[in-house]
Amino acid sequence: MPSVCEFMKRLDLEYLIRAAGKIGQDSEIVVIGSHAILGQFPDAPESLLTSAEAGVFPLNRPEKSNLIDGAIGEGSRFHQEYGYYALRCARMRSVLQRGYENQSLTCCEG
Amino acid sequence: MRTRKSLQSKSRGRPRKLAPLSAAERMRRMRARRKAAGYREISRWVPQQITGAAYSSHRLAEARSLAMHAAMAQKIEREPPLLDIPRQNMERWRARWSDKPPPWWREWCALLQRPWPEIAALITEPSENAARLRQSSPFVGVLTDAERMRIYEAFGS
Repeated sequence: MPSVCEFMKRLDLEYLIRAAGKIGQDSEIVVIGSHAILGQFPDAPESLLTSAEAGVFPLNRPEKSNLIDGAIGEGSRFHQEYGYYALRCARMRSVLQRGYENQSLTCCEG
Repeated sequence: MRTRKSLQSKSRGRPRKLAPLSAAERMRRMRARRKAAGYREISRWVPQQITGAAYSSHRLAEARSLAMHAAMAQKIEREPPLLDIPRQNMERWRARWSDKPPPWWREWCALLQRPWPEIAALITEPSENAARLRQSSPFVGVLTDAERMRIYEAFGS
């Protein structure tokens, strides 16, 4: 059973994904980097979650990455309010394993 | 008449071939072997074709973060009361994380106790450790929206 603090970390990520989805008008947001582990392991050890940023990109609307970056990126009001933020990741510049789409997990819906 | 010394030297080393290849023929055969192995002869400088990006978007974000923190440090230098903003942010975030804040919060808490010149030097330092700390910086809110957007635009965001 995860502790309250660990559960909140997962909730933080879900909140960030929902915000990115609304701004990017995309129902599929890919999370890249250390925080992606929360998708499979909500109670991941804190040593793996050492930063306040979560790398994201909208899978179907990559052109909206800049909007997400501006609205909930570093230095944004979202960042100031919640203490964490979205880091824009360019899909083309990310080194992804072939077939990563099939290996990704659904973290939250709606 | 052969001397004993000359007979000894003849018996040493690799035995002579009956029909030895010329140097040119040996080179031709070596090139053929390399070609068969997939090597290509390149007699001029050919720049390596970079298929992916030569830089990562994360590196760009780090540079942008450094620029933002340099602007924040300049602004706090001019208006020292702005140093209250990171402290207020820390307090607000502390309330959100109940009794167990994340490790970076605890690290920043200790760092903000230092004198301002030390903090300024740290947040504007182009080192790996400073880049890591800037990823969870409490200095958000020191720059206005317009100042932040100017830096974002300068980095093509």
